Amino acid sequence: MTDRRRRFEAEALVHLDAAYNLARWLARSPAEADDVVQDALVKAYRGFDALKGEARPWLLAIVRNCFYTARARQKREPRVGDDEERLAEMPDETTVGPLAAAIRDQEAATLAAALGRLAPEYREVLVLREIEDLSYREIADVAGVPIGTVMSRLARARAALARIHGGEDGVR
Amino acid sequence: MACAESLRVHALIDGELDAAEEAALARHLEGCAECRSLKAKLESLGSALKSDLPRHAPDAALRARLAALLDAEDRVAARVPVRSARPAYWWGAASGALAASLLAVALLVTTGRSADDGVERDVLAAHLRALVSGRAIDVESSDRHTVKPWFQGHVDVSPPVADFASDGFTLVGGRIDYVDGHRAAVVVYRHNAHVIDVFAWRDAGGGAERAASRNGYRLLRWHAGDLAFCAVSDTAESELRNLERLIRATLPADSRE
Repeated sequence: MTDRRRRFEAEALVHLDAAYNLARWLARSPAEADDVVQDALVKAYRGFDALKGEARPWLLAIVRNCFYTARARQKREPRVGDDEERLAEMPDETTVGPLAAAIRDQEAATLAAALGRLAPEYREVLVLREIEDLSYREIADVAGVPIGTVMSRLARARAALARIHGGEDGVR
Repeated sequence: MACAESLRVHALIDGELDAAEEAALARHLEGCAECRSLKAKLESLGSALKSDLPRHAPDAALRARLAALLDAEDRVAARVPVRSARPAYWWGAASGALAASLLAVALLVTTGRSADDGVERDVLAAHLRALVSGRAIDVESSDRHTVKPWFQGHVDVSPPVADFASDGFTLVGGRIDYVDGHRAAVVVYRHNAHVIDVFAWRDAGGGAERAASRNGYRLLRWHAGDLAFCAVSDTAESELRNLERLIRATLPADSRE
C-alpha cells in the first residue's frame, strides 16, 4: 500500500460513515447512495493532495457535490420517477419498522419520512446538524453557503418537522 | 411573525452561542413568551430527532467496492503519472522480453494495415499490449456498480456496463486505453477461454457496422448514440456479434442505432 493511500485511509476514509449517511439521506435509493459515495471517494482520493484543513467537511462537501451533479445529469436525461413520485416512495425507503411497530416507532418513521420530503438543501443541513453534529461553520463549508443561510435553512427545516412532531402549530 | 431573536434560540440549542450571547438571550427569554415556547419545542424536537433519525451505515459490499476502486486508482496512478494523450509511456516502460513481444506485436499490427482509419490498428495494439503486460484490467469486478462509476472521471464517456454471464459473457472489469489519440473506456469480458475487450469512445460521426480480421483477431465496430464501439478478441466473429447484440439491448431504445 502506498503512503498516500495510507494517509487517505487514516484521514478521509475514517469519515466514510458520515459520507454514506449524508449520501443516503440525500439520495432516493440505497443504490443511488452507493453510486454517489463511490464517485465521491474516487474524486476525494484524486484530489486528496489539495486537502487543507479538516477532512470531514471536505469529504462531505465532495459527497454533496457528487449528489447534485448526478441529480442534474438525471434531470437532463429524464426518466420515470419525478419528485411527486419520490414523495410517495420516500417513507418506504426510510422507515425500518416492522408491522409490530409501536406508536413511538410510527412517530419516528413519520419524522424520517417528513425529513425525506424536505428539499435537499434543507434536508442536508438538518442531517449534518442533528445526526452528524457539525457546527454551523462546518455545515456552511460543506454546503458552500454563508452561515446565515445555514441558520435560516435549519430554522425552516425544523419548523417543517416540528409541525409533524408537535402538532399543527409547530415552530415558526 | 417570528421574533427577531428566533435564530438565536436555534443557535442556543445548537451550542453556537458564547457565554455573553447566552446571557443576553436568557434575559430576552424572560420577557418573550414566543421564544420560550420555541425553545421548548426545539428541545423536544431535537431529542426526538436524535433518537428517531437513523444514521445509515455503508454495508460490507460497498466497502469492498470502494477498496477495489481505490486499488484501481493506485494502479492507474502508478502507470499514468500525468494525463497523457498518447500511449508513449507504454513503450518507454516496456523492457526486455516485454519490449520484444511488444515489438513483435507492433510489426504484426502495422504490416496488417488495410483500408481502415487506424482505429482497428489502435484497438488491436491496445488489446495485445494489455494481454501481454498482464494489465488487462484496472478495476477488477464482475459488479457493474463498481465498474461503471470507475469510468467516471477517467474518461468522458459512460459506456454501457453489464454482466452477461448467463449468456456466456462474464464481466471481469474495466480499463482505460487509447484509440486514435482519444481516451477510451474498455469493458473487459471473458467468454470461455477468450478475453474480449469492448472499447467505447465519443464519436458522434456514426458509421456503418464493420467486421474485420487481423492477425487471427476479430474486430467488430459499431456506433450507438454518440459512442463508437469496437470489440476485439480471438474468438469467433459470431460471438462478437452476440455480445454486440447484448450491449445494444442495454441502451435506451433511441440510441441503439
